[in-house]
Amino acid sequence: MTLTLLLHGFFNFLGTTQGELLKTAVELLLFTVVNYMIISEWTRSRKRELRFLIIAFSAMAIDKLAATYFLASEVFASASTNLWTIKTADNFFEIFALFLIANAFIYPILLQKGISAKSFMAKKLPFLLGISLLLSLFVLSLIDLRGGSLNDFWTNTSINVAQVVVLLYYAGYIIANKQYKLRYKANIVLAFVIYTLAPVIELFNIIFYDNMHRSLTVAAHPFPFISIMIFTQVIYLKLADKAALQHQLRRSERLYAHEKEVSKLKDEFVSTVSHELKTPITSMKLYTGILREGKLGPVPKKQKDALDIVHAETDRLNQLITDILDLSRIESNKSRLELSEFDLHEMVNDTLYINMVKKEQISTVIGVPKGFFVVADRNKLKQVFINLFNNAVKFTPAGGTITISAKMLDAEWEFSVADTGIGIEKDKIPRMFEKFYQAESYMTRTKGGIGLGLAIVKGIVELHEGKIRVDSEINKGTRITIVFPKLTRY
Amino acid sequence: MAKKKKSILIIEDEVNIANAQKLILGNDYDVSIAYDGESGLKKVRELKPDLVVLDLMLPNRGGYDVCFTVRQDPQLNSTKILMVTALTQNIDKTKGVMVGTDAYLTKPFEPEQLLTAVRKLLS
Repeated sequence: MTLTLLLHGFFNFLGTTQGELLKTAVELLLFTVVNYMIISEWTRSRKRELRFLIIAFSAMAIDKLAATYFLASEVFASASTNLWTIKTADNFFEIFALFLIANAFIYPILLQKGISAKSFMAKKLPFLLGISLLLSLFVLSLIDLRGGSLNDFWTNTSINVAQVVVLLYYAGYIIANKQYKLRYKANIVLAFVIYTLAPVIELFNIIFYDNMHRSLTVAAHPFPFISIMIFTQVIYLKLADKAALQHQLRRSERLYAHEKEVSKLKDEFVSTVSHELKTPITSMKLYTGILREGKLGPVPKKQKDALDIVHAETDRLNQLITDILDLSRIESNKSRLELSEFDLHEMVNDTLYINMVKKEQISTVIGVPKGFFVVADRNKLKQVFINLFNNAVKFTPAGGTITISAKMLDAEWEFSVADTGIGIEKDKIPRMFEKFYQAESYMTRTKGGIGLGLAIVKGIVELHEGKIRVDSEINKGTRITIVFPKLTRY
Repeated sequence: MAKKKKSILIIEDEVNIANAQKLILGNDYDVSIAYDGESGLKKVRELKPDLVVLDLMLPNRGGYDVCFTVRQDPQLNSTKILMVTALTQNIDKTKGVMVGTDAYLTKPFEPEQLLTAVRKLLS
């Protein structure tokens, strides 16, 4: 009960000149604080949008300062009546300030549309004034019809009508341009609409009650204040957003620099390791070669066999190092694709490999048609072919066949290597492209290899954004098919 | 009198590899060795060899630099260069061609590969 009384009393107080002074003073304070916030941001970033907001909010603050001054002189110096002209001028100035604020808030939309704010305002101001004038005349005619006094109300009416027209026009403008980006759009529209409630109520009061309805006057008070609170909130959020973004930007800049450093170190590491490991291997190969060729004296058969083993193992070690380095490059995505157009038939029709398997009594069928032109990274695709081929050889017994084929599809092309080997169990297929995976551990010993070949294939296929399919039947054979998207060269 | 042997300068900082190369080439060619880029370049100017077997990663002046400098010298017009590198990426090869190497050999290689490459350049 007491609270209702208190509120009632307070709202009544707001209706008096003293109350008016309190309201205006608080509004002045709010606008000053908002302006202070924007100006301190502007001194750092010098953005046009902020300058625009400063001009608009300064106009509003000046308006509130003038209003506070007049009200204060009324309250404290009883200078009541003679100020009518100045107060009216001040009210019109407030409309202009509102117009500036509305334009400042929609500035990001104008920027996106490529419209200059000045010419936009120069066009809208007469347009909105014209509409306000027409509407005011209409409202005044309503008052006249009712028999009210036009002399008493024409200023209030036109001021209120102009406020409503300006704010609703810009609220509508934001809604009509909703495809453009504007942060806190809903808050801004809400602030505009709430601001219009006070003049709407006052107009209603004027038209129907000669502005004598106490409850309506009291009810109108809080709205501009709420609206200003929302403006303040939007400005605060805009500035806080900026601060957060700047913080994020600095963070990602640091992260990027760090990543670049790491990537550089990794490159250097790979290149150093490559050099450091390959140097001793080169020595080993050269000296075993010199020994085997008898350049340092005749070599008995048993010693030559031993040297052959050292030689073969040196090759294996070299292959291992090459594979690890390749995989490391592919995985760190360092390995960019160098696309070119070439004939796949020519690439797979390599006598080196066909002769190599002839020794193991495995025949090779090349089902890739002549002139099968594709766009891919030639060197990498060659590696895919070699790795798939070696893999097929490993698991195909003597007398078997390896078939290499290719097929053009609509937006893709297929490349497959099929063998008549031992096959792989279904549940092991998903794992066969993992690093160091061997279907059976004994294979490492019997078949050689370390299980990196297919991991490299997978890496290269993924760089080309291709897919791998495996069909296998135990003791019948395995077919590995790779589906590549048709790429364009550039 | 036997025909004068063609001369080869090996610029290689790894003593073992340099000696192995000398063992492989020594029978058919007149071979000298330098162990870093700076002294290698001095020897090239001094000896004017028919072929330089040039390692890429050298102390005191890298292989690219040596190669480029030799190519700039009109007195060394007839000197061929065989670049030896442990790096296989295409970018390295492009860079090599730009500085003017005649051929490439990637480490590790077989004695036979070295002989074939050298014969091809000096034929």
